[in-house]
This record gives sequence, structure tokens and C-alpha cells, in this order.
Amino acid sequence: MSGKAAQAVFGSKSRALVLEEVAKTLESVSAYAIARISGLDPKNVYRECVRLTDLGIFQSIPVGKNQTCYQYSKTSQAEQLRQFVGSLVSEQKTKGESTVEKIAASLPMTDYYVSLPIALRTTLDVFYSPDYVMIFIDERNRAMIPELLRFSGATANIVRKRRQRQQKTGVIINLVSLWGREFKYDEATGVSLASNEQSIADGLNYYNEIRDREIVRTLLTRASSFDMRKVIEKLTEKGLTKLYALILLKKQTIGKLEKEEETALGLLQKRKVTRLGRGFRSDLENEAIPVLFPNDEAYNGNTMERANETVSQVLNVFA
Amino acid sequence: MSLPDADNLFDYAYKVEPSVFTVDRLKEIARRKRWVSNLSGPLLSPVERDILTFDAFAVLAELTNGYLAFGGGTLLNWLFARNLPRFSFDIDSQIRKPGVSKEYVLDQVIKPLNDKLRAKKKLKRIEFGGAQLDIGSVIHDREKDHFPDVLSLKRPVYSLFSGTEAHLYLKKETKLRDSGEEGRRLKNFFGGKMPRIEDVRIEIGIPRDSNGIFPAVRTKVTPLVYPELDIDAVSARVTVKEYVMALKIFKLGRQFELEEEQHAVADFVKSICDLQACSSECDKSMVHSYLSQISEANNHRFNQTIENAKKRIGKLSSNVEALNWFKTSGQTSFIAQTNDLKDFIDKAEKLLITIMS
Repeated sequence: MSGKAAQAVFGSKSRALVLEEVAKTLESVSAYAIARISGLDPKNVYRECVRLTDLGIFQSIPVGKNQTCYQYSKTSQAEQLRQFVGSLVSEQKTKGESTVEKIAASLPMTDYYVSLPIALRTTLDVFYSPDYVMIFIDERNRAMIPELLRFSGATANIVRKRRQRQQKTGVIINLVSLWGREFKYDEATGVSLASNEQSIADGLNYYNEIRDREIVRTLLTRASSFDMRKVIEKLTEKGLTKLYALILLKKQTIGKLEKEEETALGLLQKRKVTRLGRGFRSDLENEAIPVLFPNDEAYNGNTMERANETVSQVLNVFA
Repeated sequence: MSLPDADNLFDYAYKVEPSVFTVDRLKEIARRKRWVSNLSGPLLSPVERDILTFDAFAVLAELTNGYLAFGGGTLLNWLFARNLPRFSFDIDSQIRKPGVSKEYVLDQVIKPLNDKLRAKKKLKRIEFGGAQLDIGSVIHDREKDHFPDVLSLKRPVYSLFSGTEAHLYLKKETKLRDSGEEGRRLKNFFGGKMPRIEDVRIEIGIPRDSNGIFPAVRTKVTPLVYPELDIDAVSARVTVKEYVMALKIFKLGRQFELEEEQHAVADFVKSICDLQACSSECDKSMVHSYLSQISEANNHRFNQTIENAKKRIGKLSSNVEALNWFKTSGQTSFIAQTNDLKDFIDKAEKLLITIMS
């Protein structure tokens, strides 16, 4: 997001932001995307884009139906301005305290988002000191990746094929289409962050790569804190199976679900069930009882025995 | 895109200065605590959650007329594991009146507490779709209330980083399907910038009879972020450290079926971490005495409990699942960065030998 220097020079937050975001993009960016991700008033963002186009600084590129994208025009003044704004961005990059901040400063806020573990803000136990960060970058920025890695000093795992199975640490970059993904610029962290629902969906869809059991724990205890319809919309077939197994297991073990979980279960029962991967299955099996019976409740009477039996029965459905 | 006006929005805070709730201040505390990750920078979330949890604890400790005593992972962190906290962000407590109903607790303890907060102007009312929510109040968490002897409560609070955007939170709470108009109204109410709302989780255990009441002593409590955050200590009755240790040893030493034991590995690791945290300057004869009582009450022999615990701890050092949990769980991964589970296991074994002798 626009640094204080840019704001001071350009006098308005919207103007500084638009100049900066368009300078960062490799191709062009729409006013709609900037307004949606930044949370700024769309009217102000559109007005700035039109004004800068009228001044000959931007050129507009019609894209699809009623959609206009912007880039710096080819005039020498526009080029000088782009370079100046670029130098302000570079300064921000060098000031970045962390790998994530450096990567974020290099990309337009519309072209990436940081997902787990930072973006998941609804957790039972905080991700205290994560050893990985998953970043989704619009595949149009593929060419920028080597420069990003060099600059940020990240040892990145670039996920080229979804078939890669080994667990990863460090920065995990997924080059994808960002279409339909839910994220927003976050002023507190200074980066574009996934919504809670997008984060948890990413966690289930990419579970084999991160094997982060906090996803299992969070869903077992706080699924009702999410809009489960939204989560389900974002899941792949395998992600859906994981969620289904998890909620069904909770229902059968505790005997009761919260309303949001019941809704999710209803939706999931209509979906096709696939086999549950070995990693997730074993993590769910190991986490279920300690998480669902946190205060020694499982040690009363034959609760533990019954719970064990139920967990095995449910997981067998997905074998 | 300015952040919410902290001075007004965070007025609900009972013990904490509202001015603390700025990104710069939270980041500064994280840096001073060295809660910083190379990957993601200062860890805002644990700082904020520690503050929010402590504020809720202060409300419960000071406004419930001595009805409650406190224990559990969060209190253990604040009192004994300040340098090695195994993260926990909920408040576990116990009512000192055995056999009462949940309705009794809600009516006699929680309602007066909320009245006091209201009188102090610490509740911030928001309306959404005709429903009202008092930010800062303590309310019954019906959906989480699963167990007959544990009352689940929550305290919804404004937050900078944790939780959910206010309109989404309220949409879920009120079960409103279409909140477009209400969302816009709320945004105007907050001056154009939607704050976040987080729930601090609270549990009150209800003992069946007087034998179930944990021994507790009055203690001064400060959060993990103290002294980086300047805040007054809260005086509260807290479970006696030696009793906590005895409970942990009993957990490690009780009989389990083989399958049960596999599922309890996470609990064993937590118990070992807690023993490590409590063991400095503990009165081992008190631990001995409490463990005898607990074992007897559960029809176990003291010596057998200790022997079982020793064997179980010994097996844990080669248990892959235990090591994995220690390194990756949200509760222990921070400890695992600078400590070896094997060291904790060795110390726990030595402790057991001392207690037995």
C-alpha cells in the first residue's frame, strides 16, 4: 500500500495508491480490482484513474464488458513519473521487516494474497511461530518470481504441480488464477490477506503440502466461526472430502453440532465422497479426541472407549 | 483508510488502556518480547490475544465476588511459564460452590458482573438487524456448551487483528442471511471502517461436591506481555501449583487402554511441558501429598501411579507422534524452537524420582 512518502507527495491516499499499484503491475490493473482489494471508496479510485488518464499519465485499456484497465502511458513524462513512484516502492521493499513484507511490497495488492498461517485469525491456538507462509500469486506474474526470491531472500517452494506431495517449510508460492479467491489488503500487517474462509479452504485444499494440524484443530473446535457455505464454495473435491470427514466425525463423537456445522454437513452430504489421503486421515485420527474432549472429559467412564470406536467407524467410511 | 479510533472503540477494555490498541504499539510489544518471525515479522496476534484474554480475566477475577478460582493453561503461562509459554488463549475457572446449576451461575455470577460493567460504562452496544450485542459483556456460549459440568461463556470484544470483521460476526450471531443494508449501516456507524470482533472463550467448571473443589491461593497475576505492556497485576484465586503438578503426574500415570493411550499423546506432551514450567521452587512434599489424595480418590495406588508415569514418560522419548506434536502444535511449537522434548522428559523423570523418595 501507498507509503507515507507517496501520500505526502501526491496529496491524497487514493491518488498515491492508484499511482503505486499501476506502477507495480506488469500489465494493467482495473480500478474495480484496486477498490475491491484496498477497501477504498470505489468512487475515489475510479475518479483518480479517469483524472490521470485525462492528464495523459495513464492509458485506459478496455477489457471485456464495461471493464477498463489502466497502465502508465508511453509518454516521457508518464515514464518519469512511473520511475519515481517505482523508486518509492523500492524504498518500501528495502524497509520491509520480514520476507512477507518484502514480497508484498513488490507486487500489486491485487495480484497476490498471503494465506495460512498469518491470514487465519480465527483459531483456538494461535499459530505461534510458523515455519511456513503460503502465498498465492497471480500466474501472470510468473516472470517476476526469480526477482522476488532474489530480493526477499526467501527459500521458496514454488508449487508447479498439485501432485507434489512433500511437506514444505519457508515461503510456499502457489502460482494460480486469483479468480474467485477472497482476499483484502490489511492495514495492520501491510499485506493482502486471505479471508478466514479462504485461508481455511486453502488449508484443506493444500493440506498435503503444509500438513499443518492447526487446520484440523481449528475446524474441530471453531468451525462455527466460519461462513461454511463460503468455505465449501472454495473447496476442491479432495478438500470437500476432508471437511466432510471432519464434521461427520465431530457429530458422531460429540453427538451434537453447532448450527453452522449442521448446515455444512447438509451441504456436504450431497457431494461426492472420495478417499481420504493417508496424511490427513492420520492427523484427524490423532487430533480428534484430545481436541473434542479438552478438559479430560474423555477420561470419564467409558467415554474414551466409545469415542475411539466412533472415530474408527467414521474414518472407515472414507477408506 | 484509517484504522478505527482506538480511544473510543476500545473503551470497553476493563483493565487495559484503550490506547494500547494500535498496530504500532502492538508491534512494538512484539519486538520487545522478541515474538518476531523472519517470515512474517512481529507476531501481532499473540500479543493482541494475550491482552484481550487478560482483560477478560480481570473482569472475571474482580467482578464476581470471589465466586471463581482460576486454573488451566493460560493461568499457568501467566504465573509459571512466562519464558516458555505453551500457548493457550481461553480462561478456565471453577465456581467454589459445588452442585449448582448452570442457570444459577448465569443468574448469580454472570448477570451481576454484566450489571457492574454496564454501570462502569464498559459495555458498547451495537445493533444489527434488530438484535443487540454488548461488546465487552460476558455471555453464554450456547453452541459450545457441550458438557453438563462445564459452563461455556464468551466475551465478544473489539480487536485490531484477531477475529472477524464486525458485519460478518454479527451476521453469524444474528443468523441474518442478507445483511447488505445492515452492513452498510454498520459501516457508517463505525465511521467508514469496519472493526473486527473476537470472542474470548471462558469456561466455568462446576464441581459435583466439595471434594471436587481445587485448592487455590490468592495470587497476583500479570499477562505474558507484562512488563512490555505497563499494566496493573490482578489479584485472583488460582489453583495451587503443586496441585496442578500432581494432576499432571496423575494424568501421566493413570491406566489407559492401548488405543486410549495413543490418543492421549498430546495430553502427555502438554503435561510434561507443564511439569517443566511448574517445577522450579515447587514444594515436592506437597506434590507428593496431593498426588496421594488424587490417586486414592481414583482408586489408584500412589506408587503405581508414579511407576506408570515413569514408564510412560520413558516411552515418549522415542514416540514420533509426541515429537511431531511438540514441534508443530500451536501450543508448543514456540517452546520447541529453543527446547528439546528429550530434556523435558529427562527432567520430568528426575522429578518423579524425587517425589517418590
